[in-house]
Amino acid sequence: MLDELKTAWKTYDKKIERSRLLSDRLIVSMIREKSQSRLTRVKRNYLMGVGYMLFWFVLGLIVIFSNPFDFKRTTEYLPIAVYCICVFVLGGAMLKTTFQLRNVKVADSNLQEALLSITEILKKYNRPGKFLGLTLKILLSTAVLFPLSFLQRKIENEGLTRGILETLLAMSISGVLIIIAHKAGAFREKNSTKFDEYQRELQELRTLSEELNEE
Amino acid sequence: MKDEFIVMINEHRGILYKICNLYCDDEEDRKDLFQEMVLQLWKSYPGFRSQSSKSTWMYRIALNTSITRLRKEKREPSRRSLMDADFEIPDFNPGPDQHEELALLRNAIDQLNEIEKALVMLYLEEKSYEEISDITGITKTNVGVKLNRIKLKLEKIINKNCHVR
Repeated sequence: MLDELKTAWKTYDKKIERSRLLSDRLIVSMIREKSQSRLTRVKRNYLMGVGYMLFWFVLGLIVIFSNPFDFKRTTEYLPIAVYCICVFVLGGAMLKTTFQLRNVKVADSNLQEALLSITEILKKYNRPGKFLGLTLKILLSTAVLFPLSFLQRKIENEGLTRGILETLLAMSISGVLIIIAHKAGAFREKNSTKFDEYQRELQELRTLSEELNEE
Repeated sequence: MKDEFIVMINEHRGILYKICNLYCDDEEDRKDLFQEMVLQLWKSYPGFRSQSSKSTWMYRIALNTSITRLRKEKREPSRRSLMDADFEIPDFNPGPDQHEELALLRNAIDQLNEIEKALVMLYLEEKSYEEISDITGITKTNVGVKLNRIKLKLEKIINKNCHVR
C-alpha cells in the first residue's frame, strides 16, 4: 500500500516539475519582507522593550538633574532614584537578552535543536525571573511612593496632620489609578494577552520536542 | 550571490511546495509559509558551506521554519497583492487525469502530527536514515523505529478511508 503511495508522491513531483518557475522579482520581494517567525517576533519585542525603558530612564534622569520639583534634600530624590534604578535594571536585562538572542540561529539547526532553542526562549520570554518580577513591582511601588518626596516640605509648610493627609491622598490617587489600570487590563494588554497564547504554543512545541526524543 | 540563490530556489521549489502543502490548510497560509521559508533560507545562505547537500540543508531550514513558526499571524496587504498576482503553489489534489491515490495520501497525511508529517515526507522523498537523522536530530535507530510506527499508522488510516469509500 505505501509503495503505491510512493508512486502517487512521484505523480505530485511531476506536477511540480511542470509548474511555472518563480520570477526573480518575486523571490527578491520575498527576501526583502520582514520575517514573521516566532524568534524574530520575540527579538523585536525585546528591542522595543529596551527602547521603552531607555525613554523612561532618560526621563527619570532629566527629573533628577533639572530638578523641576525643586527638591532641596537628598531624601526627596529617593523615590525617583529608586525608579531610575528599577528602569535601568529592567532595560539592562532586556538588552542582555537581546544580545543573547542575536546569537541564536534556529534555522540552521536540526529540528530537535531548533525546537529546544525555541522552547527555551519562549519559556524565558513568558516568565521573567523572580528578580525582574520584583524589580517591576518596586517600579510600580515608586509611582505610589513618589508623593513621599514632598512629605517633609508639606509638613514644614502646612503642619503635620495636613501634610500627612495630603501626601496620603496623593499616594491613594496613584494607587487607585494603578488598580484601575490593572483592572481595565492595561498590564494584561502588554504582558498577558499574548501570554496564554504563547503558553499554549510553548506547550505544543514541548510536545513536539518530546515526540522527537521518544524512543 | 542573489542570482545563485534564485536559481537554487527554483531548482528545489518542490521541497518548499511540498512542505507548504503538508503544513497548511489554505492557500493564503501556504503562501505565507513559502515566503517565510524563502526568507529564512536567504538569511542562512551565506553560512551554507556545502557540508551537507543543498536539498538536506533546505529541508532542515524549511521544516524548522514551518514547525516553529507563528501560526496566527496575518499577512500584510502589501505583501498579499504581489504574492497573489505572481505565484501559485501546485496543490496535492489530483487533476482529472491523475491518480486518486494522491488524494488518499493527502487525507492520510493530514491525520498525522507535525513531526510524523516531516518524517513521512522524508521517507516518501526516499531520503536515507542518515539524512533524516541529520535533518531532524533523531538518531538513525530511532528514525527506523518511528518510521515503522508511522507506516503502520498510515496503513491503518488508508485502509479505514478505503473501507469508508
